[in-house]
Amino acid sequence: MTYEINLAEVDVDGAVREAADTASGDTRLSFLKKAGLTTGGLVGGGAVLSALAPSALAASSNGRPPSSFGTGDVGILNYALTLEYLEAAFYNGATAANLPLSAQAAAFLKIVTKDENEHVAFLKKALGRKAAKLPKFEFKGANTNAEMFMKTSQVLENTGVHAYLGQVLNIKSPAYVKAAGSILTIEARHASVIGLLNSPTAESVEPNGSFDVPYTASKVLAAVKETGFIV
Amino acid sequence: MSTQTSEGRASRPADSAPSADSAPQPAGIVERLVRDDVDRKRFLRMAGGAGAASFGAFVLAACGSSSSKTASTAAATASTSTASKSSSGDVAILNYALTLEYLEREFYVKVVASGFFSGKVGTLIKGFGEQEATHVEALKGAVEKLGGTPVANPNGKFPITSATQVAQLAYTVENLGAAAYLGQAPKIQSPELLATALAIHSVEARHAATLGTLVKKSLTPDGAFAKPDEMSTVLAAVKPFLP
Repeated sequence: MTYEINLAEVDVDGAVREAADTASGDTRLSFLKKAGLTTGGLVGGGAVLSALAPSALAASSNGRPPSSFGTGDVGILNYALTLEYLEAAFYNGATAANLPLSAQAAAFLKIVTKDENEHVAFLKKALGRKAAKLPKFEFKGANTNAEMFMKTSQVLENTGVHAYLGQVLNIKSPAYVKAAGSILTIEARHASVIGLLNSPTAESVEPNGSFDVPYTASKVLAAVKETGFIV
Repeated sequence: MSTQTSEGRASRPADSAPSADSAPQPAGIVERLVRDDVDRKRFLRMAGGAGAASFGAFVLAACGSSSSKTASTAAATASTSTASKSSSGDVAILNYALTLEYLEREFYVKVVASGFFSGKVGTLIKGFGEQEATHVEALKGAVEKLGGTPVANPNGKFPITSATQVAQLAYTVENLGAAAYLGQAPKIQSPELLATALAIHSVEARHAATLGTLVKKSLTPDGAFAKPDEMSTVLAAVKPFLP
């Protein structure tokens, strides 16, 4: 029995994916624009961060991502894609940094890097022309120092769990619900293992106890903003 | 009777099934569920309306007329249930999840009693068991809230022979639990229940990955996208743990 999430299954209404030949960088909205910025201004890091601030998201309902990510399921997928971009870039950088990690941590990094890049590829493909662009990241040493890497990874993975759990009920398409649940599982697995490697305690492995906790998009985006990783 | 089901489980990289001498192979009647959608639907109806029927009766009922009188007796019991029609699908799923959580709770009780684990790992594993107990209570409450009757504890039995064997079995059981919830998620009608099921599911995933790391198995045996398991697959896999 094989199972894999494929685009045909996810793209139930054909509204999301668009033919590759019509996709053009020129017509695609940039991530910054999606994040709520108007064109023409001088775009500094601070402006982007304020676009991600909770106050800017007050209008969003049911903890949904702000409409700047897109409407309906597209918005949720772009929100997920943004978080996955962040994770993938973080791990790609850590891999390149050749960190002095324990054998278990090195094995974890290898798996998690592969997984997060696959999540990015999946969401980008599902969104097609509507996919948010890759933001610019600055990890400020968080993925080039072994100790900081271990701590930051745990925070990012647990944030992923909170984020996916927070959006599952907002997703309309059953196929997307399935996909989000499937990715949620993986984020939870990553989170628990990096937690275990950092400290073999219940608090570190399963910080939410018997039930994981959904976070609204505004809460997640505020936490992302706080890191300053998106410049 | 095909043995595809048990082979399928065994072939999962995640799987570290108990050895053949410690756990019997799944009986053929369960395997029919894998292939026969009608049987599955019958099981769902049964589970949705079941009162205090045993898990074994579930399995038999799911196999319908071909598997003897026991099945029709159990099915008759189910038809007298008072669970409301609108929520019977969710009740069935909840009772299915409850059955798995009962098994997990029982498993950890025996693991803790074995004394194989001490120190930090022992504390972690004890905590996993306590969380399964919390899941049992939550699911029982949810079934009752929907007007259904919680399924009876199947009183699972598990081979407990060594620390390594137990940890590997725990890894198998938790992977199965995570995949079982994922398989039901798209079928759950109530948004509230879906949220609860997924919040439990990711905790099962945490358990599975933690145990996997402890026994040097993959933390993500399915790769970047977790694979859901159908009810029939899960039922076949837990069959060895039923009395």
